[in-house]
Amino acid sequence: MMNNNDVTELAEKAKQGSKTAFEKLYKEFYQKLYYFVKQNVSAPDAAEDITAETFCSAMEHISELHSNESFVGWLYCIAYHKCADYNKKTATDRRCIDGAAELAALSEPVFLPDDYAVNTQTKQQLQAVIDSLPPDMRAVIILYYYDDLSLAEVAKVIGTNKNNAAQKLHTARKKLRSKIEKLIGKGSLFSAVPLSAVLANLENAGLLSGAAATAAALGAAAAVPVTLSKLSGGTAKELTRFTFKYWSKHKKSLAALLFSGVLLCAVVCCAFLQVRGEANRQRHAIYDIYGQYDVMLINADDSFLNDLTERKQPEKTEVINVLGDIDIYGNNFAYGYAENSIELAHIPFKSGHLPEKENEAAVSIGVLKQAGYNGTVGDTIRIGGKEYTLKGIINEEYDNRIASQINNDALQNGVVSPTPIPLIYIGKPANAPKTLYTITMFSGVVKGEDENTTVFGMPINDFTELVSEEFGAENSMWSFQLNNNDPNAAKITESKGTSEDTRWLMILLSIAAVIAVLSVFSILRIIFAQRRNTFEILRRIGVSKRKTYVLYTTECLLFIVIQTIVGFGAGILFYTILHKFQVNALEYADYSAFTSDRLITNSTYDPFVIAALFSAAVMAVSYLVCIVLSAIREHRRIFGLQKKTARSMINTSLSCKIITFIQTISLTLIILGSMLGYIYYSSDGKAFMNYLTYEPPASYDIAGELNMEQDGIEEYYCCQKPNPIIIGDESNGIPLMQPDYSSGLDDDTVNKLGNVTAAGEITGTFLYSDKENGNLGSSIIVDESLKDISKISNKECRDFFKNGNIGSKHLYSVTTKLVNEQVLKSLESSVISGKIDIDALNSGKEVIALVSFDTDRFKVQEELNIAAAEFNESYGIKSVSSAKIKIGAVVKVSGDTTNRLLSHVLSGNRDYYLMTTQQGAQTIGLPGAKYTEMFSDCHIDGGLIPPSANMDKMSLSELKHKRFLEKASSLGSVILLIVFMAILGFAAYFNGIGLKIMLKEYEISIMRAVGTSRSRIRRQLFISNLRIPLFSTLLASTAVIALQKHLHTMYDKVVSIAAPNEAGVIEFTEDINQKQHTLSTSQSRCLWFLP
Amino acid sequence: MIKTQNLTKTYGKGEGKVTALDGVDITIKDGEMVAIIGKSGSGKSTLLNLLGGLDKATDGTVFYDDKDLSTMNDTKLSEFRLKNIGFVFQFFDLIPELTAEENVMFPAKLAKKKETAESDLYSALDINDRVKHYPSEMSGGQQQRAAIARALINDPDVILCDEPTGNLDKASGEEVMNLLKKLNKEQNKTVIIVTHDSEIAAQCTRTIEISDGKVKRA
Repeated sequence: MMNNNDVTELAEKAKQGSKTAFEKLYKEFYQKLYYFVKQNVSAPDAAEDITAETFCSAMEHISELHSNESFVGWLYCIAYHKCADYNKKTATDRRCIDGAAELAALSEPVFLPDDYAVNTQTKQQLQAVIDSLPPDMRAVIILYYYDDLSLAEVAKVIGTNKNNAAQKLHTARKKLRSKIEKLIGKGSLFSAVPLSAVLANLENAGLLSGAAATAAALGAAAAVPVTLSKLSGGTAKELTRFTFKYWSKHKKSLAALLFSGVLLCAVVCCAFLQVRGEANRQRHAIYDIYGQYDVMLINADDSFLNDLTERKQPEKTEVINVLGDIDIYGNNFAYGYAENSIELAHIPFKSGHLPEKENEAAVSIGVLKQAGYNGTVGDTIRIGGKEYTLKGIINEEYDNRIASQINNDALQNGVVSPTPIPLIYIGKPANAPKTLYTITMFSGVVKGEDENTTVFGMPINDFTELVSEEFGAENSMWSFQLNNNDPNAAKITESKGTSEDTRWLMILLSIAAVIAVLSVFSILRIIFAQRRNTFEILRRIGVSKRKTYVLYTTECLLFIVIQTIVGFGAGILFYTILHKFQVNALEYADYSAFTSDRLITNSTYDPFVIAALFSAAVMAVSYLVCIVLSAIREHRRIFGLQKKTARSMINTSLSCKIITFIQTISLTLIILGSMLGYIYYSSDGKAFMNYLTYEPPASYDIAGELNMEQDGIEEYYCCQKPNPIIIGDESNGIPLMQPDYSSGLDDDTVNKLGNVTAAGEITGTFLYSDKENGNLGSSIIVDESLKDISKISNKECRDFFKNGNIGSKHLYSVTTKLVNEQVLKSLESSVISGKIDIDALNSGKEVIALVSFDTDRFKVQEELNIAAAEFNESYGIKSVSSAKIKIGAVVKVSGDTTNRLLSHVLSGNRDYYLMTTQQGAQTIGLPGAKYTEMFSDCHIDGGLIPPSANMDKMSLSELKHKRFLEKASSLGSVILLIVFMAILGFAAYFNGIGLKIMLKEYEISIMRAVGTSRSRIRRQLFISNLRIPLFSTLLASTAVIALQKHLHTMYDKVVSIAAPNEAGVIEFTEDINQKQHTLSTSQSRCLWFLP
Repeated sequence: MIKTQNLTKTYGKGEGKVTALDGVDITIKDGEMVAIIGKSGSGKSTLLNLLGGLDKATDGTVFYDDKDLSTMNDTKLSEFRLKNIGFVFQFFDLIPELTAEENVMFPAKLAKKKETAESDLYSALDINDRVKHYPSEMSGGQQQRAAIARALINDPDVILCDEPTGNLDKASGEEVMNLLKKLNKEQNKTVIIVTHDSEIAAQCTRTIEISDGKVKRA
């Protein structure tokens, strides 16, 4: 391309007679001039002639050129006049170009410069429009826009002044615009074609898609071979090969399409799995309270059970054999074994499982806590004097079962355990002892609601009667009532649909799904638009329409199958990661969506079926709509696309990337905006916000009163504190298990740990005296039960105390605190009499008296007799030791004088304590003298703490980290999903804009051709494209609400089945106003119903 | 022999109804080279589409010898097209994803034809060195020649051309016309060319002029 200087130079040379220079000018301007001439005369041949003549004439008269700079204008001037002459000669009136002529021009060859019109058809149509202008205007347009002449030059060429030329240009432009608008359809020039087309097509496809999508989705895999068989032998092979060839040439489109489809499937699959997982959690939580059985009978004999099951066969029957009960710290717990796996009782395990072998056991965590036990699965425990391997720890919910408590009052006078459902399971013994009672559970025997309820196939009243008869009508304390006002039922109703986690997840995921659908759709639109032409060619060659569509359909089905499979794989993977995160990092209950729980699988939709149907339907709709569209296009030919691909269009339209960028942002903003609007102004949205902003109570509180953050505690170690030992009450007896609650840390170790506050509490220590209120200070309150050792019921214990020569003395219960030097040093300011002598403490000669109020209780240097009982690990007292000690100092620890940490370490529920160091305690012979709590304001080197210490550790930084994770689980995942959506939106938008540019190619090129600047087009596209986000918002919001409603219904179904009201479950309650029912040891039978 | 009887084609319904062809009766003998001329919108392209079985006539029939196209369904028509008609269009219409050779051989493979004279065709059409190229790598003239090769690969009796030189420069256009003339003379193919170019029409043995959907001059 020459620049103006070159032209001027060459013109000068030509003027001087250089043939070469003129040849160069000829080559440079021939095409342009030919085009210009062609616009002004009708016949191409004439145009060639005129062009040639123009150059001849120019060569002849080059000497007349006044200024070399105006060579171009001069050349056009000659051509223009030659054209005018020709037109006069032929008298062809080009002014009256009607519609037909306009169309005629469409099929004429075109020689527009490539910059202005991108594809052939565009060129044609543009040319037609320009051709239809009057000659003078046509000339102005061409000269000004196509040949880049200045207004002055244009004026010169057409032989007028600048103002007149400008006027002509203005009129020409106006005419052009109106013509273009007429051609394309007024107002539609810059409409958002893709999405309005989508909208229109969605309407059209509504009915069609319903049936077609279902059919396509259901038969996807099966239909591929069927459709392939429709293509006869060689054709099938050839067309299939052709399709592969097509996709191998369009790898990017293929990748984009597959990506969108896979993403869609993955999103949907993951969403459904997550919903299902949540539903499982909810359902399991309900089962944890109620179990899964309808009716439970205790000790019903075989003939009665046979009678019942003959009336109606239960869906499932399970039996628990209770062997007896065990007393743990005054509470009786039933223990027994299950005949088979307990499904109906639905035992929630914290860890482990039911025992499988004889010497294995599973114990409720409540029972373990009662025994002060803090073990883990795999430990050896003693139950009833026998050793078992702990195989499972049952969650607390199981203890709170209605079945565990309902007959508390009724049973407390009998031998049968107040918790008839065993909280301790052992493996079935080889020689099973005689069972105390059996529990038989049934499911699927209660049907209907309210008055229509039937139990075992008979009306509720009949059943009541039958049971009363069987279990003793004379003791008619048992009755049935319909469970209308059960507070638990109300609780379940409340819990219906309140899983906010599920809800917000669904909102966001469904938006993502909608975007993914749009994405698939727009990609398909591009691909189908691209291929429309190809299929037209195929038809001409001799491929029937049917075969073409069979090919399309086969391809679609293949895509659906591939995308579904890959997408589900990705969805499952994503869900698995999510689930693992929830279980491991956030400590959710481990109830996955993948459950084999019969009741859940029976009562919920299969998530895979739902997700498969959903995503397959969406894709099938997209594909089918595109097929339908392409068929419509064939007839209408609105968009005459030839060979240019969307990709090349995007490449040629750099500016469109900027548009895309801005629009994507606006799209995302608007979608988020609508979401936020939904959140803030709808009740569901508010609930969602509540969930997000809900702050769980700060978990930095420890030991009941301290706050790690406020009290400057970085790390806290703790052993399980011992339960108070109660001696003297016959019914309570001696504890079954004495837990090891000491840390095993001695002074040396603690001192090595650095800035550590350590403390422990030693129970089971007594002060004793020959006389009542002897030399212990008048104000010590004697524990009545300890006054006379002879009152201790347990013979073994009593004997021991007698043998230890303490038996006849008066005992006073006292608790001894164990502290390290760090505590002692900080106590110095609190001493009210005497002084703290660490050496004396370590030697065991002295102890410190710790008082809250009464300063007269202990006198300094007063001598005391101290005794301490050491217990067996599992049963009874091991030994008793005694010593004489002196009070070295009296320390008053009321709130004013000690800080919070010290208060916690020293205080308890008594007014007085004795206090010593570990070394001192060992010298005196106090058992269990080990630190149980440690506090530090910095990180403690874990390596210095022996593993045997077995202390629970709490670290402020770890707690904070966990809190962070908890927050991340709500806010973080929202943000993640928003980012995820933004990416999806971006992808969708790029596809959309690609499609739009392709479809708007014609309009854009015309605008360019008539001289609109790129920035102006950009602006117009930007404004018109606001429709895209508006439309997507509308669609997204509708879809969100619709989808959420549906999913909610689905989700509620899961929960409501377990709800007593809706299941028509009845409850049997005792009538406590009637006379007390006493159960004899072996024959008593009771029954009750449970939801 | 190709014969039409009262061939009528209308688009749309009611007020928007457009009659593209209105009772056209023409007869074209085997081995003729006929130009169909007329302004755009006159119905000449519609006529070509009906002759080629690409469209269904609203009324009337098209006979190829004794075969009645109007009684055939789309599948049969396609089969007929595949074996008996070669199309050449203004916009070369090669499938962009296939090379020239693949484009040319595509109809042969669809027709399960084992022996084809493609190499002769390439030589005759002077595209021997271009057969492995994709359409985008070929000039307009080369593309059109490849499109003609494709139209001829199944050795059809009839070649239908819609503005075959319309998108070519003068020299290339002349080459294409010479080729068509040669096919007509040497292989006795029936060639029907739709054009608005009187110069091209002049090279044909007969001219049929269509105006407003009616035969003005046969």
